[in-house]
Amino acid sequence: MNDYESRVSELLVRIFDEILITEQKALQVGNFGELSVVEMHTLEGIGLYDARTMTETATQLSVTTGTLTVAIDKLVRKGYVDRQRDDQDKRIVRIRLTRKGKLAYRLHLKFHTLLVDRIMDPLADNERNLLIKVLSSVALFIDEQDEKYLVNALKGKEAKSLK
Amino acid sequence: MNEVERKEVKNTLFRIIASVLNVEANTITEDMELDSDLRIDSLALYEIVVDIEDTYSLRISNDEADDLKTVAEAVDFIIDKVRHE
Repeated sequence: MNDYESRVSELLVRIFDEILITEQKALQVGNFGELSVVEMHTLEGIGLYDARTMTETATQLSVTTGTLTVAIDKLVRKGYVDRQRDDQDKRIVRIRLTRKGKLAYRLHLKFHTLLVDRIMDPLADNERNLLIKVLSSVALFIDEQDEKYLVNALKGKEAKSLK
Repeated sequence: MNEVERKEVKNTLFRIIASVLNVEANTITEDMELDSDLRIDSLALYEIVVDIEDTYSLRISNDEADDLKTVAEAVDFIIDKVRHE
């Protein structure tokens, strides 16, 4: 790896780590220190307005309904999410943000807006387009790696079960 | 929206602001600035927004809320939203 590549790698890792740390700090400053960043992103998946089913939200967040159920249990206990069974079909569970959940969502959104404004404001249109292109390419690579590890993990499980 | 309805929106907004800031509603005036006079920070602003949304069944974005400078602007903004939603 040459100096330029080392610098790019260092910046990418630093940005990834520090965004997570700063998001957590921002939650603490906004009186939502009891929320983890993962829980905050679950609130984002539920959305600010209409009640959503568990299945819809799990799909949106790319998690299983079992994983989501555990997360929602905690968020209900902490007062950020309200959960109700559908009046007509009791199998359907709908979730929505409480007032406290909406406030956390909005403050978190503001953090993201400030972050994006800080990055985008000094850039000209062509630079903005280039930034989107570069970030999309990074996101695609990460998705591909994620998919590859998932496939390898499944193959490993199959091999074990055949032994 | 007529004058009576404007007054109703104004009184409701004053009541919501007073409740969020824990002050008397009669200490609030339309010419007050949300930031410098009422010391409304982001958390208080969004508390007010969520209460307005619930009261009038509106949807207000963070950007729309962040752009409001005075109480009068907020009253006019709510009236405009109610008319268009």
